[in-house]
Amino acid sequence: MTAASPIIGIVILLPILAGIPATAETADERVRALAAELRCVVCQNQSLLDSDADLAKDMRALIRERVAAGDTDEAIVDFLVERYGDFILLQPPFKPATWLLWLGPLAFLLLALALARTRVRRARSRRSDPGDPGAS
Amino acid sequence: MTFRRIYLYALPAIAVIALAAVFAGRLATLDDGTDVPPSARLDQPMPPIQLDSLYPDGPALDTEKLRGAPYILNVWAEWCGPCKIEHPQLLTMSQQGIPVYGVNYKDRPELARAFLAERGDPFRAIGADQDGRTGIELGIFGVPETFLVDREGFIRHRHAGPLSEDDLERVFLPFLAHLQEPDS
Repeated sequence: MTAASPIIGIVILLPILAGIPATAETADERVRALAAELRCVVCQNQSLLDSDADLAKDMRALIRERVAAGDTDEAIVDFLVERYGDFILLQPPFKPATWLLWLGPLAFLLLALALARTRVRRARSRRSDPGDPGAS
Repeated sequence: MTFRRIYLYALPAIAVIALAAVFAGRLATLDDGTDVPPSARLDQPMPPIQLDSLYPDGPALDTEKLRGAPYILNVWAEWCGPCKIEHPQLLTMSQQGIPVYGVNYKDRPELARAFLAERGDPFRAIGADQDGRTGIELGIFGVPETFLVDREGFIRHRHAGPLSEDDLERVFLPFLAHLQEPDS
């Protein structure tokens, strides 16, 4: 405990010294926050934080070490993505391969709105002009 | 007019069928008997791995020294059931002169050595990955996993789960033969 406290102190101080506002997290909070956004590859619908799988424990230990060593969150996530791919991210990144995933629902919504608009317009024009057999 | 309307109504059905086709295609590429996605290490260089031997006087495992010829790297453990199933396939490969190397993953060395003494030891060198960091380095999802590495040191195939005789005949032996061709 006493041996670790200088390291923890440095870890807490570093972001403050780097100009990050006073909401600086403790090392433990950083480990938990990182583990919560990473997938346990053994039990795939759990995060590393929630999982009791051995591999998840090992990965949490690895994250803890890297946080203690002063790595940025980004570096730690990149390290795991290099080995496990985007699969390890619980939130898929926004990039060309995932555009359909992120923008698909929006595209469908717009399509539905466009269809609804034409229908409403057509119904309206039919009502206002009953003699017309149908707008071309 | 009516034709256009039918076409519009068919649109959702067409979209569903198209999506089903995309998903089926993606599922088919994952269909190697496991629910594991393709390795992020595929077509990447084998990471440098240096491990002490499982044996007190055995050769260490050093992937940097394995360049020049294709080889197999198998990650296994004595406590893993499927590893027992695939063991004969590893022996077959080693008997055919294929260089097979091993990473003994988070195991009790004495049990692992007893396993190999009883069933045969296919490994030219077997490293002891005591803390499991080599497993993470390789991006493994579990044991066993088997990697096929070409002569330049690039990982060309990763098999998650036990190797069956069928996997050996249909995938590993042809793939190795292809990698061993002079100008592959």
